[in-house]
Amino acid sequence: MDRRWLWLLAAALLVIAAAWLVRIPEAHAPLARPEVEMPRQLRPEERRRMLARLRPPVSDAGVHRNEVRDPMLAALSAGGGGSGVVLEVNALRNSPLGELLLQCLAGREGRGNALEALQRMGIDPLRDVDRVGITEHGIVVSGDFRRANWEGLLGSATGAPYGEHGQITAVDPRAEGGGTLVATRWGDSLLHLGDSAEDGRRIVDAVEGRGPEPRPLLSPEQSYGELYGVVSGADLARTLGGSEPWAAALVEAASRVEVHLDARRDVALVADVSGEDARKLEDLGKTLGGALALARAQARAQGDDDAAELLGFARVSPAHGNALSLEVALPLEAVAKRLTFCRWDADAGR
Amino acid sequence: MTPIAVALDLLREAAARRWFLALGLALTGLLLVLVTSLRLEVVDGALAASRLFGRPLDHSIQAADVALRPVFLAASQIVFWGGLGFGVLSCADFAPALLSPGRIEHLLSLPVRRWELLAGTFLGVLALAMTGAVYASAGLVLVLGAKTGVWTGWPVVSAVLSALAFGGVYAGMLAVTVWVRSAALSAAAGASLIALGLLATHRTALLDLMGRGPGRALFAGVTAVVPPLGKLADAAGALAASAPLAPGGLVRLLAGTVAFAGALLAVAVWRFDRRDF
Repeated sequence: MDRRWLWLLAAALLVIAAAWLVRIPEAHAPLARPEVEMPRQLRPEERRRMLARLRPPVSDAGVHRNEVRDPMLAALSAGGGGSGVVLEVNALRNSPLGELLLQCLAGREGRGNALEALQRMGIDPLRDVDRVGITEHGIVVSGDFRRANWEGLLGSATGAPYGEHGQITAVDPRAEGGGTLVATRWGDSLLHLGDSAEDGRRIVDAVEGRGPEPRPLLSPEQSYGELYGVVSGADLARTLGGSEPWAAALVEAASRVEVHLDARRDVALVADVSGEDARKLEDLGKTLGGALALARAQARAQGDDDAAELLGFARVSPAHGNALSLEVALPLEAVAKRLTFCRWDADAGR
Repeated sequence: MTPIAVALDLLREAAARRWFLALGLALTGLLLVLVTSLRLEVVDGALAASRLFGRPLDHSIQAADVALRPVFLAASQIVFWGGLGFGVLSCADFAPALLSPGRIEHLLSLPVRRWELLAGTFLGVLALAMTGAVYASAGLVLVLGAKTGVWTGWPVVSAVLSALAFGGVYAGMLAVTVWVRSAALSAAAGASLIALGLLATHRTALLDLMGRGPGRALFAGVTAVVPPLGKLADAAGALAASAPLAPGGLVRLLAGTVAFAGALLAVAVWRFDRRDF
C-alpha cells in the first residue's frame, strides 16, 4: 500500500476513536418510540367481544325497537351528554399495564385496601367488573354482580322496581353533606351511580329500549381499545382548566375529541379531534405540535430528561379536513419507569 | 530539522508580530488593573473579624475560596472562549504563510519531511495558545492569591484545557489551508468548527427537535465527531471553580479532542504529501 494512504487510514481510525470518545454516556439510553399499531378500528377479538355484548331490547318494554344494543353504551347515551369514557377493566386487568397498575395500587394501599373491602361485599373488581363508564350523569359499571351483597353495598337488598329489570335505590346522604346518591341496578349486570332517580329511570329506559332512542354517544363499532370515549370541547376545556379566552378558543376549534387507548403491550393512545372550522382546527394542531416541541426542548434544557423523553413519544398529525390526530406511543418500559415510585412506597412501608 | 524546530521557528515568527505583542500587553495590563483595583481584602477582613470575635459578624459571609469561585469560573470562560476567538483570528495566516511561494520551496529543500512541517506548525500554534492561556490564568491566580491568601492551581489546569480545545480547532484550520491557501478560509474553518462544537454540545436536544431525514442524519454524523466545546468549557469552568466533575467524562472528552485533532492532521498530511510545489 502507498505510504500516503496510511495517513488516510489513520485519519479514519482517529475519527472513529473521536466519535466514540466524545460520546459521553448518557445517564440512561433514551427509549425509542415504539412502532405500535395505533387503535384505529375494532380488532378481530374486539369485534367478537362487541358482538357478544349486543342484546336485543326487552320484549315487553312497550314501544321497543328492533335493533340490538350494548347495554353499557346505551346507558352512557341515556343522559344525552356530550362526553363519556369507557374503561375496559377486565381487558386492562389482563394487560401488562394492568399488572403494573395493580402492583402500584397494592403498593400504595397496602393489604387492607379498597379492593378487598369490595371483595367482602361480593364484588371482586378484578374478576366481576367488566367495564366502567363515566359520564357527566354518573358512573356506570357493568359485570357479573350475582354474588353482590347489595344490602351491604347500598343499604338495601332491593330498590324501587322500574321497567323490566331495573331497581332504583336511594343511598344515604353523602358524608360531606352533598345530595343523595342514587344507585340504579339493571339485572345483575349493570349498576349506575348518579345524582337523581330521573337519571336512573332514563338509563333503564335506554337499556331496555323504551321510549325515544337517545342520540348514541358511542356506537358499538367505536368500542375498541382498553379505554375509549368521546369528550366534548367544552368538557375538555373544563377538565384542562386555563383562562377563559383559552377555553373559549379551544371550544371553538375542537367540538369533539374521540379517544382510544390500546394497552395490550406498549401503550398507544389516539385522540382524534374534530371541529367545525377547518382553519381553527389546523391552528390548534400547529399549536399543539409547537407546544409539544417547545416543552420537550425546555425539559431537555432544564435537564428533565424523563419529561423530555415522555414528550418525545407524542406526535400531532396534521389536520385533514375537519379532524386532526394526537398520537402517543409509550413503551411499556417507560410506563413501568414512571410507576417505580409505587414500588419504593411499598418497599418503604414494609 | 524536527517538528520542534519548526514549532520554535513559528514561535519566533509570532514574537515578531504585533498581534501577539498586543495580546501579551493586554493580558499584562489586565492583571495590573486587577492588582491595583480589586478590593478583595473585604473577604479576608471579614474572615479575620470572625476569628477575632469568635463568631461570624454577618451570617451570609462566605469563605474566601468559595467567594472566589465565580471569579475563577468567569475567568476560565473568558480564557476559553476568548482564547478560541483570538486564536482563530491571530493564527489564521500562519499556515498560509508557511505555504507561500518561495518559502515552502525553501523549507522542502531542507532535510525535513513534509509531515514534520505540518506537525511543527501545529505544535507551534498549540504552544502559543498554551502560553497565552497559562500566562493569563497563572497571573490571575497570583493576583488573587496575593490578595486573599487563596492559592489554587486549578485555573491554570483549566487554561491548559482551553489550549487543547483550540488545538482541535486549529487542526481543522490547518487541514483547510493545505487544500486552499487562504487565511480568510482558514479563519472561516476555525469559526465553523467552534460553531459546530457548540452545536455538538447540545446535540441531543437539537436532534430531538429534528424530524427523520437526510438533514438530521448529516447533523448527527457531523456532531458525533466534533468535540463538544461547550462541555469542554463547562469542564474547564468546573475545574477552575473547584466544582465537582463527572468521573471519567473529562478524560474521554480530552482524548476525543486529541483524536479529532489527530484525524484532521492526518488528512492534512495526506493532502500535503500529494501536492506539488
